[in-house]
Amino acid sequence: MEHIPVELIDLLESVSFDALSPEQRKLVLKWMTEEEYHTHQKIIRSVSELDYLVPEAAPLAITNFRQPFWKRPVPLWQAVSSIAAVLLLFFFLPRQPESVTTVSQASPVVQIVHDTVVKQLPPDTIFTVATRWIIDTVYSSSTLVQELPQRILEAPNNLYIPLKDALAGVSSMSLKEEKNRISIPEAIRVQF
Amino acid sequence: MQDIKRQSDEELMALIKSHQSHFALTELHKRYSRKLLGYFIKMLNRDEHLAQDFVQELFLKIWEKSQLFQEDKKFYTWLFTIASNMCKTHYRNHYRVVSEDMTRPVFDRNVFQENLTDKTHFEEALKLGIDSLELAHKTVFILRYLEQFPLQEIAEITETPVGTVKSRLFYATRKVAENLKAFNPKYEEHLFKIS
Repeated sequence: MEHIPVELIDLLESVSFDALSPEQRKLVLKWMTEEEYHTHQKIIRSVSELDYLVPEAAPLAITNFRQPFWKRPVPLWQAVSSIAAVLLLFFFLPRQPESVTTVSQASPVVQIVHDTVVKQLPPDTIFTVATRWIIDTVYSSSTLVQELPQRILEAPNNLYIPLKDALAGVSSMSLKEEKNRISIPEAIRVQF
Repeated sequence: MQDIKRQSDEELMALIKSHQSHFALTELHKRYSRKLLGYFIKMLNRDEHLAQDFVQELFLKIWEKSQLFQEDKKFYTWLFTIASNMCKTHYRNHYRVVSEDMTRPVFDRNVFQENLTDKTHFEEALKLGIDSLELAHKTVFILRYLEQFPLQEIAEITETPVGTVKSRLFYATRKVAENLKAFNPKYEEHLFKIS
């Protein structure tokens, strides 16, 4: 599409061909014939008087004017200022003082505190006056250490088998000796 | 209510923005619904039902998107900007395949052969010529010659420079003129209004 001079449409809308100056006429004739110029002007005038049938518009059909608050648009400045206000309140409001709870106690509270005091003194210290007695309870604790039996799998190469010793102490019974003899019943003996 | 009638469009928009005033919206609807309906009828190839729907949709947009209105802008221009964008969206979604059809003459000479002198038929041919314009040309043509908008406001509505608006006006008028060549030139003087 060619770029037409912008003056052309101004001339078409407002100046008849006969009223054009020589320069304007030259410009117009570069783009269209005199007949076309007339036709364009006639169209512009005719169109402005065209009669379109426009009925009455239907009544406004928005029924739900009240939007729920979460659907209502919030202007940006309102949203930003709300956030800023919350931040300001958070940082600049005076903090509540820490609450002190006082409990009244009718009877005195006696608490025995056991503690271990270890005082190291250099060997050349000479005690002259005993200024303070420290009475303390000393608790002794003992730890029962049970040795776990050594398992075979954990044993070293020179394996020691306790069973061998146990077997060594066992004496066998000889049936040749008189006291160990057992008499077979007569009926069984006959069958042999 | 009496106050609302006396307030300017921009003041009514401020009321909608700040107080969700449905009275203000109703007043704006009362002022501009018919004007908008006429614009939509022209833009949507005289589909009246669709145009009615578009008017409703447009006022719903105003209600829901009132925050987008800038007080320093003229409401009337903003209104037609929304309307033009709605038409643009509609054309984009519905008229993708008809661009080729738009290049052919929109009416057959024979249709008007018998009653070429009839003014009604000429007007119909003119309307068909406007209907056949491509969207960008049609928008500026209708806004300028049918809705009588100043060039500067058309530039704002269409978001194009004034020079582009003038250029589109020229080519739109040329296209309409080409379509009207079907009329016998000897009747031209009789049909056109010549002042």
